[in-house]
Amino acid sequence: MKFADFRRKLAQYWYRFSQNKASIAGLIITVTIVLVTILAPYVTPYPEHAGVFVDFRNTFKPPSSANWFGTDQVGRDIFTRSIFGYRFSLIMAGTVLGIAVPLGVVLGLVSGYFGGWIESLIMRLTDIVLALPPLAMAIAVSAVLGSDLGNTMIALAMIWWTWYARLVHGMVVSLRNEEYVEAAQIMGASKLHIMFREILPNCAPAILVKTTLDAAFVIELSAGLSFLGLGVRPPEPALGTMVAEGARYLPANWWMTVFPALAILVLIFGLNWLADGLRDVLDVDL
Amino acid sequence: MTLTYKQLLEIKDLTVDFDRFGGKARVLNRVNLAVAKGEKVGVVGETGCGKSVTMKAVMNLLPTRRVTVGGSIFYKGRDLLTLDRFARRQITGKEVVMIFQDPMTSLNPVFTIGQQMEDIIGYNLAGAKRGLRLPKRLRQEAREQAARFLAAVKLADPERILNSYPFQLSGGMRQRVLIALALANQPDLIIADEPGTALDVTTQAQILELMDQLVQERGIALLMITHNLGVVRETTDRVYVMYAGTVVETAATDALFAEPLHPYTKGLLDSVPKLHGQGLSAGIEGSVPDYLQMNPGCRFYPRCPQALPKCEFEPPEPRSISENHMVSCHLIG
Amino acid sequence: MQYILFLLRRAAHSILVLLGLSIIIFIISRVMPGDPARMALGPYATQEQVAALRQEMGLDLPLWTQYVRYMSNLVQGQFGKSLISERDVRLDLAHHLPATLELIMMTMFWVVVIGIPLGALSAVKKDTAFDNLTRGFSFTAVVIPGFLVGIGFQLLFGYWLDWFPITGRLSPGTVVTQKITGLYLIDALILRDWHLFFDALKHILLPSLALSMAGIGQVIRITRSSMLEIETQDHVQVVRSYGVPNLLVTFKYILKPAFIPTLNILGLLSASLLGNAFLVESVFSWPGVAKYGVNAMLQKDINGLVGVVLLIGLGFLLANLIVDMIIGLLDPRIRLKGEAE
Repeated sequence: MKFADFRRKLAQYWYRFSQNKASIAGLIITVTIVLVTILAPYVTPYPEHAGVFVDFRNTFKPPSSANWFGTDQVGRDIFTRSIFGYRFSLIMAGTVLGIAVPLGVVLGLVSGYFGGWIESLIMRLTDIVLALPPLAMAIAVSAVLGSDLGNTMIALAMIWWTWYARLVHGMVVSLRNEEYVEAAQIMGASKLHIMFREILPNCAPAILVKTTLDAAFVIELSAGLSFLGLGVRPPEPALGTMVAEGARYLPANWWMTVFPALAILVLIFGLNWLADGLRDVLDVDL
Repeated sequence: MTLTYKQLLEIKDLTVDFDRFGGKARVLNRVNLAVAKGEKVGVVGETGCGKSVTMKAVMNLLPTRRVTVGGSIFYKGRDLLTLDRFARRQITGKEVVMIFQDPMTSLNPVFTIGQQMEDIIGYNLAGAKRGLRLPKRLRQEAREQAARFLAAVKLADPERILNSYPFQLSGGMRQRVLIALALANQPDLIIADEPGTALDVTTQAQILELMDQLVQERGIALLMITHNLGVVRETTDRVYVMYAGTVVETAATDALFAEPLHPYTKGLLDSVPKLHGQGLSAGIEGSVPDYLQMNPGCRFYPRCPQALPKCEFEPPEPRSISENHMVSCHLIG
Repeated sequence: MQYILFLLRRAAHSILVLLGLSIIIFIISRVMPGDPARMALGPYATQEQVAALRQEMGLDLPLWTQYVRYMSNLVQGQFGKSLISERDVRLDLAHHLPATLELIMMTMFWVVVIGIPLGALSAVKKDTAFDNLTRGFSFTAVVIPGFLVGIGFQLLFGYWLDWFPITGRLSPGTVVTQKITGLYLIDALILRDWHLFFDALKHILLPSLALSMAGIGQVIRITRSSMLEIETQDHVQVVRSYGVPNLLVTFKYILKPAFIPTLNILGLLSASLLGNAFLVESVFSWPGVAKYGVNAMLQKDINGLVGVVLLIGLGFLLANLIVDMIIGLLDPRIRLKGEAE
């Protein structure tokens, strides 16, 4: 495709995407949060509060101009800790999907394209893994392997690839008899070429939309895990842990729970709006 | 109230607009069409020419949102478009019924044939006083009537058919069920949308013959929509040719086949492979145009092999050539 | 007959999945790095204590023998002794199961009685203010994590409005005179103990609603979209063209076929429902299996954990089997032919 064509196409996509206010809001929220999180040490008012820090003169302060979200039981700024808490969520989403998506896509391509016993093996494996709630599985694995962030992420990735294997497998099966794939076969293209250059590009929009949706999912899950006290070690801030800690001081010190909870919600909503917008633009039916 | 009327169904200047994202699409433009009592009329044209939309407008099956219907549809002298929902239901679905195109999808997969026929026949027997539950007596009566008409369409063992689900019947059997359903209300007019096209050719021929015979016996008028010229030639008395939401030509079937006047009709007839003669059929270049960017003059102008300059901007008016033969084309007259 | 075969086929498939699941759990619990005995006893246990526990759990045997022992125990329903409560895990699970079962059943009840009517109405009133509102609600309900809904409910209806209790299954003074099913709502109905009934109802309301939100949202979405899809199909146009009343067309000829995809979603939903139950039970201190599982996990009780995970897998498969049964009743193609077209 020529560069000009590519630009025109991109402009079309952008036009359709920008017609929907929610999608734009989703994009802005997601990009802002990612940027702010990366720059957390520079943009937060009290970066030292993210670590070991105690200030007993300022415990349980309600929201004010000095502490937008108030302070917690040892006087740490909740706004600062919420921003740092995003790190845990984003690292988790990035790592889990960074492993699960390529793995699932490749296994789905292979099983769909080659068929036979490979297909049976991979698809039965997905059947089994999908019978387990991801949260329960993550809890089980991180319990056995010790409450360690790396292990938990590996455990989640080991479950998550199945969704992508399923998705890609289904698409490959319906695509493998399409004319252009057959044409490529007749012209003697290699299997690798057909899988990655002919079939994969057609699955890309669906994979992109699902990845965006799943990012929200993993973040929800990571919040759930840290809520139960798994995956992250204090004093490292995690939004779920903050919600759980704050819940002990309800209802008087409501800000300790409410603001970290809202922080989770904003990111999850942003990603879902973004995914919705992408779904419309890319015309994906998931 | 009795009205005097010449035609059983008379569509006058029917116009349908669809609201699309890109603007208004005039899907039907001043369509005129009439069917007399007991007459068999065909409507031909390519897919997307507005045949089905016309019939859905008659049957009140067009979506209500984003659709505007103009003109009038007279049935026995009364304009259906001015009647309220309830008065209209006394006519469409009872006196005027429609047989849909595909028998495989026209029956609900999760109810038995009996359940569906009972509801449809029962509610028409109930007439104006309709609740959500049919009285047992009516349901029984409807079922007996259903069985009678299943026998009339030459289905053996009607009781078994009534207790079957659609997936247990073949395509031909389902098509017969649909015909029985249409006949069961003792209508005056049946609109048939390409009956049997989804079936194999032999079954289709049987179905058409059966339908022809049943309609003839009962003196029911038939309005047959199709793109199959062979079907039109064999079953109809008169024919309308539609193109892009307009009627371009109408004549007695024999006259139209003998002497087509409109370039589109000529092209349509040429596109039929002939048993004699040589070479492939000529056909018509291109396909039905985009309704959002319709030519302001003659709608056939972009594809017409004999177009005149004025065809681009001036829509042709229908002209009477002889009795029953009308054509809308600047080349004629 | 075909129906029975269909169900047997699905059951056999479930059993295979369960077998695979048990293998995966075995691998995770025995092969992965880390010593379950050491974990259970903590860093201060002596070498001898650890060795003794290893022997008791059979961890010193060859892997293959361990597997055979583990499987034969599982087949007999033996999960071993809980390392915390020192009781048979089966007893622990049986003790905690009714609370979870009651919570899940109540949740499913909300999902069905709220989700399906809202979805159907939203489809009927497509593009009206009601439809937009319902769709907004369903999006929100799907997106917000269940445990945050739970905390929100606690804050709003528990602390601020003080309408409902926020923890446990019963108020301190309320006693269950006779345990029949262990599901307090049902026991109360059987015993005609209205005080017990309303107390249990008041306690279960918030957790079950919190847990049901995501499901309600999903069911609204799928009911709406499948009704709109069926609405356009020929067979609906046919009954409409014959003047069958609109209400009957909607609630008989559209709703019944639309139930089939909705039920399938309900089956799949049960997985995420069971997962979310972990969090919601924690939020509301609901004394169920999930809470037991979280404790087992936090205290490194490997036997208890295996029991909980397998129970959840079993629950998911049972839920899907029930869904298959109901779909079979709705869809004659499955009932009479054993498969959908």
